Amino acid sequence: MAKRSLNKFAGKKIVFRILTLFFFTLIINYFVAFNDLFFALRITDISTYRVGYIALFTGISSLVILLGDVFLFTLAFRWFVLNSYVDRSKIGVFATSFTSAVIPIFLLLAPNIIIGVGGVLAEDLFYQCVAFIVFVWNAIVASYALFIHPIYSPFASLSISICIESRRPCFKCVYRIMNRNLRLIKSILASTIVLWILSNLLAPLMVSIVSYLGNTILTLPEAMQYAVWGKKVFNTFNRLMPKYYNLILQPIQYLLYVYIFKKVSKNQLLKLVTSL
Amino acid sequence: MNYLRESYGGLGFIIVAMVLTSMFPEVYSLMTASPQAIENYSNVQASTNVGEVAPIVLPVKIFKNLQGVRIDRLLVSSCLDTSIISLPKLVPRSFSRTLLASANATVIIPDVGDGILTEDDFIIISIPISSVVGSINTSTLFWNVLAAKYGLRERYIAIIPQGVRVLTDKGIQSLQTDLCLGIYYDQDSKRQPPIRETPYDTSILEKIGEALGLKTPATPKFFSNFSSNEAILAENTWNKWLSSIRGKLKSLDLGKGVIAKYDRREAFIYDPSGDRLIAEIKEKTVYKEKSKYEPAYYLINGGGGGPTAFYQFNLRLLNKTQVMDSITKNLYLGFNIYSATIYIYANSSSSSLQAKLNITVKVIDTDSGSTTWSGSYSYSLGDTPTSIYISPSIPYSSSKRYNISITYSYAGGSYPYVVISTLDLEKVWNTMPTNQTTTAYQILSVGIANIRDYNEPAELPPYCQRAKASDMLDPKLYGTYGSVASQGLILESPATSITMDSNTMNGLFVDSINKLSPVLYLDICILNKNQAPEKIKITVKVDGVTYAEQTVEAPLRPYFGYAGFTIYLDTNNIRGYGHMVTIEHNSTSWNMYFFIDALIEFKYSPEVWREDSYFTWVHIRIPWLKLNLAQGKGSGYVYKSSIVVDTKVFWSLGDYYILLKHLISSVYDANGNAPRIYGASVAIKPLSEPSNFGCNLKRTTGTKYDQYIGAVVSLWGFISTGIEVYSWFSGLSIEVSAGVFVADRLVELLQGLKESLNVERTSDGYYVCSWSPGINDYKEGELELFITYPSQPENNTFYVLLDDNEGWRLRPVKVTIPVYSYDDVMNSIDERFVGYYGRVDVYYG
Repeated sequence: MAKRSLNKFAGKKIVFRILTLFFFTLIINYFVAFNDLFFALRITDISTYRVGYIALFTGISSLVILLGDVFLFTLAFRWFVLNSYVDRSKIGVFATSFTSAVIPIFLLLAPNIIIGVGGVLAEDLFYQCVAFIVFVWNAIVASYALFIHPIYSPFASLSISICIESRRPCFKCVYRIMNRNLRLIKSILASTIVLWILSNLLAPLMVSIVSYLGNTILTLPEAMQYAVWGKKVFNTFNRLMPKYYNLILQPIQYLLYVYIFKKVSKNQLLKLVTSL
Repeated sequence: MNYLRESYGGLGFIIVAMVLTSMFPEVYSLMTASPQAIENYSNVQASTNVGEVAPIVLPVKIFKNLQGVRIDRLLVSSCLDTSIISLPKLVPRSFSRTLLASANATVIIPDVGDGILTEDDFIIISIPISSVVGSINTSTLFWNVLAAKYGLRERYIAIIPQGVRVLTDKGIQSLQTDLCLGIYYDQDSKRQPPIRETPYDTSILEKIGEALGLKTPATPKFFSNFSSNEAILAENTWNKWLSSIRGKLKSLDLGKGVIAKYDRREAFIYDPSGDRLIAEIKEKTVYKEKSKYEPAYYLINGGGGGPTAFYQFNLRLLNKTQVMDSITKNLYLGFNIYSATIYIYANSSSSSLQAKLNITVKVIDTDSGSTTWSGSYSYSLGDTPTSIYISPSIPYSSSKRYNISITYSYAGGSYPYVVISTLDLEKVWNTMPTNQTTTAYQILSVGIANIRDYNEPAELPPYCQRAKASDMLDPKLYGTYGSVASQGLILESPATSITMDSNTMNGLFVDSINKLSPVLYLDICILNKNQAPEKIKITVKVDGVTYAEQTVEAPLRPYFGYAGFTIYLDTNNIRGYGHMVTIEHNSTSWNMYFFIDALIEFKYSPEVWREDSYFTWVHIRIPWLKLNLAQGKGSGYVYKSSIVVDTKVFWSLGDYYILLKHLISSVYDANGNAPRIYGASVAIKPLSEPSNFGCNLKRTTGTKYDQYIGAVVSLWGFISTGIEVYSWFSGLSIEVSAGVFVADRLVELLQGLKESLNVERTSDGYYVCSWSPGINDYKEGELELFITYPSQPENNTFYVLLDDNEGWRLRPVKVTIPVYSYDDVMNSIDERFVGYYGRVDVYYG
């Protein structure tokens, strides 16, 4: 294994990696925005509206955001903590580790997608199920997203980025690594809290300096605002949709996170890295 | 067939009376009218046992002078009793497909064409036949008073002697009683019966078909697609069945043995205070002399003589009621009553057992409390619903007020089922006794809104740019044809017919003086996407009868053709429904698009029964605006929406308030499905600032799904609190992590999907009450918005906005609410009388 250093990054490589992080953030946010737009158009127009679109919308968008988060954390850890990269030979291993890490997220959101499809194709039959998914199951999803994912995502990502070093794809690797490094959770939690505080200061600052950054990255059609149903859907989706500051803040958050994490867990991280 | 076996009796008297009266050609019955007709009206009329109501089919060819008269201009009366009348039906000429907008389906309906009778036509007269042999009153030979009052100067007395074979719903029967009918009409189209209904009755036709041995086709009448093979095939099947019926009717030689005696009068002298005819005048020369008898008498002639300033109202008495004992309705009628007709559409609740229904009608002088007229009727009803009409005699008076009492009683057999019963009332006023009438609107379609912002406005004819119904919409909702926002009715060829059914409202009146109420405005813009221009004939039918036609040019696109109609709807439909408006065109080519705007504008008087009491105005409900709109693409989604201005106002102790009620309901289609309600709002901008305002959701029907929130309310509360904590610093919904972002989105979405009701005052002075059902599957909802004042506001004018679902929002409409002082109101309380006042319920249709 090549000699590694936690602090020495070649300048160009760092710039390229940061830009790549921004690029992937852009891709994910636009995917989410287009997803929002697609479903907003379907749900606003009463001739195309089906109750299943609501469940489908929450399922797909949440899945993309949460998986994107794990993916970007993995890149951040790989590039800026482990100072390594993912070459072609590692893609299979990465895919296996990533898939095994996000299985809980898949399982959590699969009912939204399955019931959502049912609610689109056979609305009357699935109406009750969709209502259950929207109000009950989504409470579980939201609880996970709010309280567990902020810890699970960096922890799993760190494990994925370590598992990439495996010679063969290994489905259990991520969980084995996580189990072995449970002591890192304290550092992850501390980093998360510090990041929340910083983000909450940084975002309003950005928006107050450049108010344009508070706009949504895609504009919902104005026609939606004209009537009762459309107006409500418009307002809801307008609040949901990613904003411009997300495109800047989100990659910065990953960079800040790994920076804070390195500071908070320096000794533990050194042990981990040297053990690889 | 009891009524056929028992003797009618007295036919000889009728014939003798005819001979006698023909001996005095100039004055037919001058001052020698029947003893009953000149009786003091305090005498109570004897009971009449009228028996079974049977539909009898008669060929028009035996009434030669009827040929050329429109079917809805006929009034039939019993010779026995002038209060028993009937409206004849026509055996349809064909069945045709039409897109029934309210059902969002293609329906096969009977077609009577222009409704003008020809010798090939057959009329169906449902008239009660007496089962009791009694002495015939020769007065029944005189002109029916109701017919004379409305200037119907021609008639046929049809006498069907015993032994003549007639066709009824039970088959060909040899008549064992004598039967006498008066068929009244007038060639002058301005003279017409005061009551009107659809000129065909499919259920009776089916019964007659079965009586002829022609089984009713099992083919359905509802289809989703106008041009589908199934619909075309069904139309052919029904037409074949109809042709067979008409063929059989022709072969039966039904008129044989019927004595048809034609009569004509030039004028009548009518005593309104006694509601009786003084004279029937046969020659024009004696007009003036005879009118000198009494200045208070009316000379009703062909030149427009007699009262013409009618205001007609229609009130529902009973709706879908099984009569198990006795039901009495008391109504205050008031002054200036020219005529009244009670309508009952009823049948037996059993398919095998007949029901006996007794009807008792009393007209009561409110000053003396005495009964001035009464009638008792007994009907045998079969399983097919039957129309019953009773025209009580009510003296016309500007100083005496009358109540009417109607009792429906079960009299044996199976229980009678009253599908609907209404009271049709005509009053004579030179002007309405109050100027506090309100204009109300019923929007049936806003199809032209789709092309208002067409690429080049210059390519739209001016009338397409100023179509009346679309003008009521907020212009922001206009959409280019084919866009998401397309709405209203768009008839696409090869579909050739579309039918819209309007609703009725209590208090709606027909204004025969100004002809301003109700008026149907139709604007039709035609887009021709073919290779050649075309001339197209557009026909407008009201209640199945042709009212207007126009032939217009359909130029090539991008230019539009235009046809506009303004039609005064001259009567209410006595069945308590609104009018059925059908638009047909004769283009056989494809790719012809008809953008249809339809609006009915009418005057509404909130208290028709109580003309001069302010008290009855202080608690009024004005169904001020009704919409019946297709939303979404084509006519895929149909909703009804109504707004009611309920002014309990200007009355209660110290509190002045206005209540706006907004009802939205979706329409069930042929499969029993109805679209859900997506939201509604109602807003008012008062010119005087109120002291308080509020909003309620009064009722909903449908399924509530957001109850699940109750099960996890703590969890959602915990999550929401978490989100609030995260965003506490910034006040923004900040993605502090992807997980928080997802949770935040789910919480936001949950808020959007929960049912909500909000009220707010906007910066431009509107008080807005908005309701969102969220994920719930509601079919109906009623919103109430109220504003209150500590004292009477300086200005009682308001702007009202209505907003529903996705498809439409009104531009602000100005409304002025009647205002009376507290003293005016209190002083008029004593003017009330026992009886029914005003409308407790508002019918939304």
